[in-house]
Amino acid sequence: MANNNILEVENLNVHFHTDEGIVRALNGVDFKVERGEAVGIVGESGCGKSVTSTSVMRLLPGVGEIAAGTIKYYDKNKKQHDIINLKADGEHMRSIRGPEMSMIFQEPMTAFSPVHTIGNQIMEKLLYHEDIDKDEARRKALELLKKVGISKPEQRIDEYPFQYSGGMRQRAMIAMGLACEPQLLIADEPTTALDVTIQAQVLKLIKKMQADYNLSLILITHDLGVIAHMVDYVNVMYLGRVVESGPVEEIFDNPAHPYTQDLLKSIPRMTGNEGKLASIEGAVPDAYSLPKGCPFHTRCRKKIGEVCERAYPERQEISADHYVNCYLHQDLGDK
Amino acid sequence: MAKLAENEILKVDGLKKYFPITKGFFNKHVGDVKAVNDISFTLNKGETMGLVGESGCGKTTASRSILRAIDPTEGEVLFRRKNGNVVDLAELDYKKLKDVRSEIQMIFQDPFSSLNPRMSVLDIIAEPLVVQGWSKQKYKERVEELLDLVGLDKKYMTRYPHAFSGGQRQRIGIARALALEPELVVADEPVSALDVSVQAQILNLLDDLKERMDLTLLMVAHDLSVIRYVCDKVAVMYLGKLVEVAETEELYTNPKHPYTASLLTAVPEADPHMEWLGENLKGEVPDPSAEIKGCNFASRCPYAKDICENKEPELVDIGGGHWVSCHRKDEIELMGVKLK
Repeated sequence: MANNNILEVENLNVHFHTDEGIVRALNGVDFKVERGEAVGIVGESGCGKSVTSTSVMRLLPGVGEIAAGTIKYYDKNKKQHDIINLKADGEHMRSIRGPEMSMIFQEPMTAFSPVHTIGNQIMEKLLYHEDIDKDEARRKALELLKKVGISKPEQRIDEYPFQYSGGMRQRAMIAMGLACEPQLLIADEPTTALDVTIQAQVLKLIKKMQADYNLSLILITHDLGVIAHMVDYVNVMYLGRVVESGPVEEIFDNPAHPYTQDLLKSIPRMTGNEGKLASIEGAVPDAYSLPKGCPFHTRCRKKIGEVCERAYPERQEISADHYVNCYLHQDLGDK
Repeated sequence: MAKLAENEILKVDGLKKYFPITKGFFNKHVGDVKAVNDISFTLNKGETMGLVGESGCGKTTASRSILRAIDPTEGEVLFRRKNGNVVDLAELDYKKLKDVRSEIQMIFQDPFSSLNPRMSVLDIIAEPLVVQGWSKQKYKERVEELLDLVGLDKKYMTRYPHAFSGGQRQRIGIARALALEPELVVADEPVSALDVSVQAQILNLLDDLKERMDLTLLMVAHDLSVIRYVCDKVAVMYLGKLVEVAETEELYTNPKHPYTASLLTAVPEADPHMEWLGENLKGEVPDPSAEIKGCNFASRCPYAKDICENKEPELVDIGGGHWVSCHRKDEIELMGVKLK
């Protein structure tokens, strides 16, 4: 069987050891990315979407620990790499981080070094990974800046991040992400800090680059509008778990998890809303003491009863490639 | 002094706020950042108006100048007080201003930094009442009432802000703003720091309060769908100027200014079946200190002609309370939001 996946994440558990106790940021995250596919991870703040991406990149901060699970990455030659068992700062991981998978961050002002020029920062990555000299690296960096639509790249390449506007910084970030031609691009809230018209420009750029470089994309965002138009497959996260996943049309047309359903009904629409917005009662529970059973039962409108508090529901396929973890979709038998 | 019509509560006329740019040892004045550059609009009693625009367009500066949180450079801000008197907020001295302030309140963006962490909920909400000289017993009752109004249990009164989530804190901020039954409430990005599910709670609450208290609300926001949900009327701002003002439904379905149209079509709607045009504006907002001779949107406008670069358009009424500032408003066909 030909495996066309580029990334497979299974049962990923990540804990943060803090002074106040252990924060269980991820409690068994499963998802996969097919080669050339755009996959979205959507959820509210604190659901673990960024932790997921930093775990895949092995860029977790010191207090974070991958407690269980597997992350398998298949490189350009379809060779399998067991990301979890690699040393985060080891030679092997470094050869993957950059030429194989690369990341663009939410806040480009803090992701770039303020004391190096944009050009030098892109060149640094090229010089580290590729066997080329400085002139060649500069030529490549220039080409990248041109490619992402930076005007006057010959002048801009020698400028510092503070001289760029927000939209341009994000473009430069994409250029840096694309240097060394990665297979998988992880974009963590790439447009959250931007205005709508600039957001539209940057999103269209990411789409174009995805096609030009035949990239696989993981897009992490809280914005359902962005998800609807940018990805093929959606993973909805709540409190460190993927609670529902499916092809984008399926998720928006036939959401199966009460959380997804409520989330979709709670957003104000440009086309106007009928009546009141649905809101999800209460707030996301404290990550130090997660509720037992289904983590959403404390806010769920459709809670069945005790059964939801007992154990976490199994993943159920309800239509082609559409999975949900909810007792509403399970045959509860005698219970 | 211009007069206010019967039902009007606020009239902003020719409001400007320039921030000087200085240079060198002697702080020589070399130019101005024209954050708010000649804006005018009126707000009727009980109406909710949205002020929308991208970052740096001057929407926050405009709202603060109206409140006199900062002193405007020029212009009039007429406000009808509870007792019926009309005052010009822009020229009142501080003593008189203090008196008027109880009738204008503000809801802030960030529920984390806008509440004092060392004050209990009771103290926070009661602060405006204490300033106005309410007795302890009286204000405690009022705070209970207010907590009930914004959907918080009164047993939380003795707790401190850290014990609350973002949405709950925003409720506390709203309760504080409503404590003195203000005539006018200015909300600066009241939901932009909140998650969608919590955002919906606060938007519903604002909508509710609007009906129940006959609130007049000026809401500053960058999110067009949020504005659409709450506001009766919308003013679109670009680089310190109003480019279009209209009733919400009219503005969204029948925009007349190219900037409004591109804002509307830039937002990806959460529906994969709907077409998303996305990118349709080139470049970025120009420097607000630059001298611009013509229309300040001309540098990015896909419809710009010679006249747009040379002559400044005026905000004119094209009927039905729809105001547009564009030379080519009658010639171009623009697309708004299609209704399902």
